[in-house]
Formats: sequence, structure tokens, C-alpha cells
Amino acid sequence: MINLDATTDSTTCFTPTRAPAWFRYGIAAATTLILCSCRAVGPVGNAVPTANRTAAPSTTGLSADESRDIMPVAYRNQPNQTVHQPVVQALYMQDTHTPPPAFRQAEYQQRIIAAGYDMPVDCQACACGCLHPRPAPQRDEFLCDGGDDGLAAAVREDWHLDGLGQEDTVAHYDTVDGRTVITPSNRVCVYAPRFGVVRREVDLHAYARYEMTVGFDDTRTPANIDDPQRAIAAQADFKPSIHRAENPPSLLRERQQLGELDREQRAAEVDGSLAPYADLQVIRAGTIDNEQKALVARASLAAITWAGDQSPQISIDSQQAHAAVGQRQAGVIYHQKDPTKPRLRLIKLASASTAQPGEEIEFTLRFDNIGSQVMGNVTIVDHLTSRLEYVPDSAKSSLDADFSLEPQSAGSAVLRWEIKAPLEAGQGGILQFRCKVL
Amino acid sequence: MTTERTLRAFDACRKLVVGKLLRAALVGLLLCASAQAQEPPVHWLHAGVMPPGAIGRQRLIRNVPLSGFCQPVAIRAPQGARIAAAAGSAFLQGQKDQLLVGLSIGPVYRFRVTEIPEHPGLEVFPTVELVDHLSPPPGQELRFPIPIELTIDELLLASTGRFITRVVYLEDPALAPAIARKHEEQPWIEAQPGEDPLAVADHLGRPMAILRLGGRVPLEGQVDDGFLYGSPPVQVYDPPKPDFATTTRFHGNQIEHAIHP
Repeated sequence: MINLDATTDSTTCFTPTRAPAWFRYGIAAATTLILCSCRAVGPVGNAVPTANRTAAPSTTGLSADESRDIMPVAYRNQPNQTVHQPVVQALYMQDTHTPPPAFRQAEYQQRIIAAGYDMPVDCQACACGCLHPRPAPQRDEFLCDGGDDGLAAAVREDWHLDGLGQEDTVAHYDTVDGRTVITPSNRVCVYAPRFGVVRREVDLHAYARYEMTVGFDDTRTPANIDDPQRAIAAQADFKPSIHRAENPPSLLRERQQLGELDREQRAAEVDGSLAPYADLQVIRAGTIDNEQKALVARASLAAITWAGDQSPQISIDSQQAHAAVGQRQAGVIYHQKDPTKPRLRLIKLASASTAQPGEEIEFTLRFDNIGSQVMGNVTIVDHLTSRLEYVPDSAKSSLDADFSLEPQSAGSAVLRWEIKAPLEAGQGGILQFRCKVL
Repeated sequence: MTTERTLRAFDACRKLVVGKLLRAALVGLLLCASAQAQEPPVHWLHAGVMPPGAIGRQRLIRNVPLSGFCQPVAIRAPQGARIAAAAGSAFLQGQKDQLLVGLSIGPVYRFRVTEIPEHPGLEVFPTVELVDHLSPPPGQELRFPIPIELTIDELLLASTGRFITRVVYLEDPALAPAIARKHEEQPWIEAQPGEDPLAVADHLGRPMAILRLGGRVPLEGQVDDGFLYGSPPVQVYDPPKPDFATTTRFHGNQIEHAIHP
């Protein structure tokens, strides 16, 4: 007979020991602190400006923070991204730069804060007040083009580009030893917010329907009791004349315009000169003039600020590549220590930093072979975002090139220049095209 | 008998299992809380049917400090109509066709639309509530206001007793359709029955402002503070002038070359 009151066999299961009081109270305090603090932390990209936050450098601020040695390359960790690419004879691997520390990332965030908040009209007397400093702009207010964000681009044997997403701009070329190298451009961002509306209409005429039922009192006379037409007609009179909620409206209220006046652009094409924003020594001849650094910085300021954490990482020939430019320079040069390795510089500039829907923006691409070898089959590809519409016949090239335009399913377009002649060392060229902001 | 032993042993283990479950639940709660803290700043707790001002005031106590931010807003009316903002216990004289004002996030602003074309004597009193702001480059705040459009159809619908809610949102560039449009026109989509327009706008972009048309109409000569929501101060700007320099900015030298080769 087994004694039921006997204690449980200690080998079957151990009774858990109670944690010390300091441990339990610590866990409770930590839990409370975390739960309370999580909701107070703003999401990423919605930085909370603080009172002691200083204004960003001037928009022409090439002189500001000149001494900082921060490379404008991406800080995404995407190791072995090319492994899954259907790439043949293509090399595009990641740079292994160390991501910046947290305080540097905060500096990058600050760089996209506009300098000061100056309401242009009677700001001092603004009845609703002025905020100093102003909050940081958000990504959805900008249209960006350039770089190689997201899936890395790669070239197939038939010269088809894979992984070229919207807003990407890359150049690829063949080296003398039979390799294909891809180089992205910098990213240019234009402030061009566009708005939409979601509408809802509440039909309050439902009340009238109930009120009119009183009208049935008039039909209670024996002569009209069996007359059904009167009731039907009474209800039909109060059907809503317009009930848009049942008719899902189309998103489109207006189709694309057939065309607009282009008299200024016609003159520009005949003249063939560079616009003021791109009439720089680095665009004309590919050499950097110190006196024009500020102008280059202004034309590509948004590119620099956005490229800080969005531009791709590069390596060439399975070896680590180094960004050879400072933070304030528009173009990004990727090279290797071996001086015989090829190097291509691709700079992208925009004619305006802001644009309203309907306005045109001119983009300029300057490419240079700054290596010591000749490059063959140099191809520059730009995948426009869906809100940028290529202006027909606006593409120009300083070198003999085949230009093609390939519309995409999402409404975007891919522009492609194939430079016919090999690009000798030290040689470069200019590509220009215009886009209409939709 | 053996069963009795097993049950006793299980009873002791059950305490251990319960302890493990509690710890697992605690860890899961912590992870969920952290994950929720990273959620995008959408209006999960708001709805388009909330009373005017509720969303904006809740925005002030959430996320980023927005109190005092002066956001330019361009209210466009049909050609010839006059829009006026409330001041004190009355309305200002207003401007025709378009009114450019600086508004804050939080208060509810009452406007009056009069001189509607082909409808003399008709008055509509829409309200505007800001829920977010823009951050244009310095000096270009007035070039990029939040546009709010009053169409003649909706003004007439409001005058017949219907209530219209328009949520103006900033399009997400990644979701924006490749559709050309005139600068003065604003496309709109209708929220399906049962849908919250604010939630729909949240999916399509970032809600910026809420326009409400219809509903209350003041008695003649009796405009009270409740109807005007306290008449929060409004900064009225001059009508914008055409910026011809902007459209020809980057072609300036080429035009000059063409004229003076």
C-alpha cells in the first residue's frame, strides 16, 4: 500500500525556488520603465528637435565641416548580396566600410534639417507663432533620383540589367581584362510634395424619408387604400439624387496633357550650352575647381544629405573599394589601391532643388574615366521615378551614344545611353535630359 | 495508486510550467512593446468621424512637439467666391478665389465662403483642422502650402445639408501614380461605405489636414464662440504672385544666348 500523503518523489520534479526580492523588484521596475519609455520614443525618421539643436550648415556650406573625413557611402549591411544575382561576368560587391557610430548618424540626420526657420512674410508677427528650430523634413516630401538603392544592380551576358529599381542611376563598363563593373551615381533629391484627397460624403437626406411617411395619412381614405402606386411614387421622390458613395470614383480626374509650350527649351537645344547650375568646371572638363566647390555643393546638396545612408556600397574585383572623396563632394569615386584598376566617376546634378507639379527639371550626368585603363561598352542607365516624366527629345550627350527610352509597367521609364567609342583614360562626357514633375 | 503519485508530481511541475509561461509572457510583452514603438506614425487611434479638433489636439501630445508651428495653407474656392477667416466673433473681409493663411496644428479654424458663382446669398462655413506639417526649404514656405480645395459641387452639397469630409494627404512618392495633373486641381478618391477616410489616407500617404463641409450653420446674427471654435488666430498672407523667375530659372543663360548670340 502506498501512502498517498507521502511527499512527492524529489527525483520527479523540483519545486522552483523563489527568486530574491531585489531581483523581482528590479524586473518589475525595468519592465515598467521599458513599457513607459517605448511609447515615448519617436519612430525612426521622425526626429524630435530639441531646444539646443543647432541649425544645419548653410546650403552653400562647402566650408562648413570641411575637415570632417566622412565618406558618403552607404551603411547598409548587405553581405553577399551578389550571390543570389543571376550575374554572369559581372562584379558588384559591397564596400565594407564600418557603419558610423550613433552620434555620427545623428549628425547625418541634422544635415537634412534646413538652416534656420525663417517665415518669409511677417514671421515675427505671425499670429500662430513660429517654431525654432523647425522639425526635420521627411522623405515623402522629396523626389529622388540616382544611386542604387535596394537590390543591387547587375549585368547579364545579354547586357540586361537586373536589380535596377526606380530612382536608380548606374553606369557599367567593360575592362580590358574582360570584367564588367557597375558604378552608381550620387542621389539627387528635389523637394516636390504632391497631395491627394480622400473624401467621404454623409447623406443626411435619410431624415427626409422618414418625415414623408406622414404623407401616407392622406391615403387612408377608402378610395386610395388599394392604390399602391401612390406609395411607390412617394418613396421614389425621395431617393437620393446623387449618391456618390455607391459609385467608386476613378482616381483620375485628368489625363496627361498633350503638350505644353516649350519655346525656351527650343532655344536651349539650339544653343547647346550648359545651364547655370551645371556650368561648372567639373561638368565641362571633369576637373574640380576649388572656387566652384560651393556651387557644386549647392547643386548636389540634397544628393549628399540623402546619400549619407542610402547610397550603395562598392567593391571592385572582389576587393575592398575605398571612397576617395570627402563628404562634401557630389560624385563618388570607387577604386582600389592598385593603380592599374579602372575607376569611373559618375556625378549627377539637378537644376532645381524644389519643384511644383508641372515644372521641369534638368538633370546633368558627368562621367569620367579617372583610372589608368581604357573602358569599353560604357553604358549609363537611369531609372526615373514614377513622378518624373521624361521630356521627349530632351536627351543630349557630348559623346556619340545610342539613346533609348524604355517605359516600365509602373509608369516610370528607363533611360539608357550606350557610349559607342571606348572611353580612354582621362576622358569623360556629359549627359543631359529634362523631366517633368507629375 | 500510481496515478495518485503522478498527479502530485504533475501538480508540482505545473507550478514550474506556470512560472515559465509567465516569464515567457513577460518577455513577449516586452518584445511586443518594443515592436509597437517602431510602428510608423499613422493614425491608428484616430478616426475621421472624431469631433473637429480632437485629432489635432491629440497630435500635440504625441510624437513630436508641434505646438506653435505655423504651416501655410492655401484654400482655393471656385472662381469668384470669397473666403474669409474668423476673427473674434465675426469673419474678416476675406479674399477671392484663394486664401493663403498660416495655421497651427491643433485648433479648428472656421471659414466662410460667400459670393459663390451663380448662387448669390449662399454661405457655407467649412472648418479646417491641421494634423501635420511640411518642411520645405527655408524661404519657400509660401511656395509649398498645403492645398485645400473647395469645389462648387461640394459647396452646393453642403448647402443642402450633406456633410463632406476631405482628408488631404501627402502622397508617398513610392505609391504615387504617374499621372499628370494641373497645379490647381486636386484628385480625390471616395472612401467606400464603412471606410474611415483618415485610415484610407494613412495607407496612401501622410494625412496633413481635414476639411469638413456642412453641418452647422449659425443663426442669423448669432455667431458664437462655439461655432467659431474660439476663433484661433490666423496669419493671413497676401495672395501669391506668379513666379516667372522659377519657370525660366535654369534656362536663363540659354535664352540670353538665343537672343544675343
